Amino acid sequence: MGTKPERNDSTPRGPDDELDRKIHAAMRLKGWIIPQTVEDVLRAEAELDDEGCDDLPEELMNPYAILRRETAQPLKVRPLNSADDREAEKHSAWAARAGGEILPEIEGRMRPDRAGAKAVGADLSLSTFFQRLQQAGLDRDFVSRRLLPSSVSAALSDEHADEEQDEEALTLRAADCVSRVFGWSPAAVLGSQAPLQVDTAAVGGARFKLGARTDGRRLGAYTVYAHFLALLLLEATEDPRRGPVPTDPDEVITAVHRTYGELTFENALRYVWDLGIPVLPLNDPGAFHGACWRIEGRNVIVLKQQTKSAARWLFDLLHELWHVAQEPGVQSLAVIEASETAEERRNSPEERDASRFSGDVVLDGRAEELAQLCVNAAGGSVERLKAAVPRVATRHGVLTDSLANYMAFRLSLQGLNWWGAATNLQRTDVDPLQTARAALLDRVHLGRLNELDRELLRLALTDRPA
Amino acid sequence: MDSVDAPDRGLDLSNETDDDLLAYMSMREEAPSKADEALVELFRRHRKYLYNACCRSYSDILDRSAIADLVTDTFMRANQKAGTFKCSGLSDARSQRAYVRAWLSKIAERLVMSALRSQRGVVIEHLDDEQWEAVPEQEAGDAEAEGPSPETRLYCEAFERLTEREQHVLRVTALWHKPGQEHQKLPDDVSEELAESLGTNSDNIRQIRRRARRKIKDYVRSKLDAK
Repeated sequence: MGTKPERNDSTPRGPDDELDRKIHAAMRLKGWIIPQTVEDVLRAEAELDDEGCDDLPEELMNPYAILRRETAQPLKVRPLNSADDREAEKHSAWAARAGGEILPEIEGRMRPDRAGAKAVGADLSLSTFFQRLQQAGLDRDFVSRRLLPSSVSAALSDEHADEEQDEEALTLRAADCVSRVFGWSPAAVLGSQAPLQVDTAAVGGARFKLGARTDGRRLGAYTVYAHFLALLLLEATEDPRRGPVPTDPDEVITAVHRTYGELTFENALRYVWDLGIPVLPLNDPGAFHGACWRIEGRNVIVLKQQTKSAARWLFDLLHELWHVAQEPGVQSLAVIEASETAEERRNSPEERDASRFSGDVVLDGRAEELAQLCVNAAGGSVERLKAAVPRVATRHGVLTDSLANYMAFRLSLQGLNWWGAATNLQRTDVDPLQTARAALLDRVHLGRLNELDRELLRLALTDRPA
Repeated sequence: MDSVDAPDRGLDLSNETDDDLLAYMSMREEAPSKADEALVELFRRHRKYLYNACCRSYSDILDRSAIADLVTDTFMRANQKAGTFKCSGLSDARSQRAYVRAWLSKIAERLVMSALRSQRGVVIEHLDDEQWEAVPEQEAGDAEAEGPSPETRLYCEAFERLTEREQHVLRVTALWHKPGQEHQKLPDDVSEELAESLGTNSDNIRQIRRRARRKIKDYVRSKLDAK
C-alpha cells in the first residue's frame, strides 16, 4: 500500500528508549507532534474543527490564491524567546531571584534585560532606579515593602552589598519585580530618557477626582498596584456569580442575621465573600481610601484603612458594596474613593447614597432617625455631640462606634469635620485588618498564581517593616 | 469568496477522490488546467484541518501568519511531489482522507525542520522521494492505536508541569528525536540557534531537555505509585 514504516524497530532498547517512546506518544496525543499516521489523523480530526472556513486566516480563504503563489517564501520562525515566552520565563527568573540564587540559564535571560537597559542609556545603579520610581509616584519605602521579595529587599538594605553583590544584577532583579506590576520593561524602568509614566486608563484613572493636596502620581501608582492585586484575587478565587447584589439595606441585614448572626465586620465580610465578591484589605498610608472594580462582570472590593476600628471597616465595606450593586448589567466598573473628608466625596450624589446605604445597614434602617436624635440630645451643639452619641446608641440598642461614624458622615455633608471625634468613639479590641486578611486567605487558591504573583499578594498582606 | 479568480469553472472535481486529485496534479504537463483545479480542490478540502493541526503543533515557533504560509507551502510542495504520492489502498473514504492528511502533515513537518535550520543559513532542499512519499504506519503493537492509555494521559499531565522553556526545548528537539531510530541528534545549527535565542548555550539545551525528561518521569512514577 505504499507506506514505509519509518520506525522500523519499535522495541525499546532500554529505559531511556522506553521513556522517549512514551513521551513521544504523549506528545502525539497532545498535538505537539503533527499527526502523521492514519490513526493519529483520525484521532486529531475528532478533536479539531475542520469544517467551514470562518476562522481561517485571510491568506487561506481563497483557494485559488495558491495558484498565484510563485515560489515558496522562507518561513519566518518566530524568535524562540518571544514576548509570551519571555513573560513565562520572567516568572522562572523571578523564582530564582526571590531565592537569591541565579541559575546559569536565568542569568542568560537577564543578559538581554541588561543589554536593553544599557541601550537606552541606563546606568543600572540602585539610586537611579529609586529616583525614577519616585518620579513615577513610588517611594522607596513602598517599593521595598510591597514590591520586592525579602531576599532582594535584604540585599538592598545591606550596607556591604556592593562588596558582595553585583549592583547591576540587584538593580535588574528589582526592576524585574516592579515591571511585573506596572507593565513596564526593565529597560523602561531603568532608562534615562523618558520619565516613567503610570498608565491609569485601565484602572479607572479617568474617574480620579483629585483634591488640591492629593499627590496625583502617587495616587495613580498606588491605584495601578491595587488593581493588579485585585486581578490576582479574581484569578485565585472562585467565581460563583450569585445573582445581583442587593441594594436594599433590609435585605442585607436580614441575610447577614439569618446566615451569619450579628452584624459584625467579620460576618459582613463573610456575607460579601459569599456573594462572590473578593475583598482585599490594604493598610498602606495615603493614596486612595478604598476602591471597587468590576472586571469582565466580576466585582472586587479593596478596603484601605489604617484605623483599628472594625466599625469603620464595616462602614467602608458596605459603602463599597453599594457601589458594586450599581449597574449590574455593565461588565466593567471602577470607583476610587477619596478620604471621608474630601470635598468630592461629600458632594457626589453616588457617594452620599453609598454612605446612607451603609449607615442604614449598620443602624438597622434607622440611620437618619438616630442621627436626628443625637442632634436633639446634643441640643444642636457639635461640642456636646460626643457625649450624646453614646447615650443615644445605648438607649436604642445600636453600636456607639457605628452611630458615631454615621454622624461624622452626616455632619460632613454640612461641611463639618467630626471624624476625629468619631474616631475616639471607636472600639479597637479586634483587629479588622487581620480579620479581613484571614477571610481572604480562607478563600484564595494561591496555587492558581505563579510564584511571582503569589509573592506579590503575600507581600500586600504582610506587615513588613521598611 | 471561493469563486474569485476561478481558472476554469467547467472543471468540477469536487466529487473526485483525493487519490484522483493527486493523480491529476501529477499530470500538469498534459492537462495544466485540470492540475490547477485539482490542487485548488485538494487545498479546499484539507486547508482547515492542516491549519488547525499546524497551529496545535507549531504555535510555539510560528505565528499565525507563518502557519498560514506553512500550509500554503505544504500544498505547493504536494503539488510538486504529487507524482511521488502512492495511493493508500485503503477502502473507506474516511481513512483515505486521513492518509492524505498524514502525507501533507509529513510535508509540513519537513518544512518546519527546514525553516529551523535555515535560520543559520542551512538549506535542506534535497529530501529524496522516499522521504516525501513516506506515510508511516502505526507501529505494530502500538497500544495508542486503540486510544490513549491512562499512562499516556499521565505523561500529558506531566507536560503541564514543565516550564514553558522546558516544553519549548522538548517540542523542538522532538522534531529530530524519533523513538526507535538510531543516530538521532539535534543538528548543531538548530541547537545553537535555540540556545542563542534562550540566552544560553548548547550544553544547557541538553541539560534542559534532560531535566524535562526527568521531571516527566518523576511525575508519572509518583502518580503510578500512588495508585
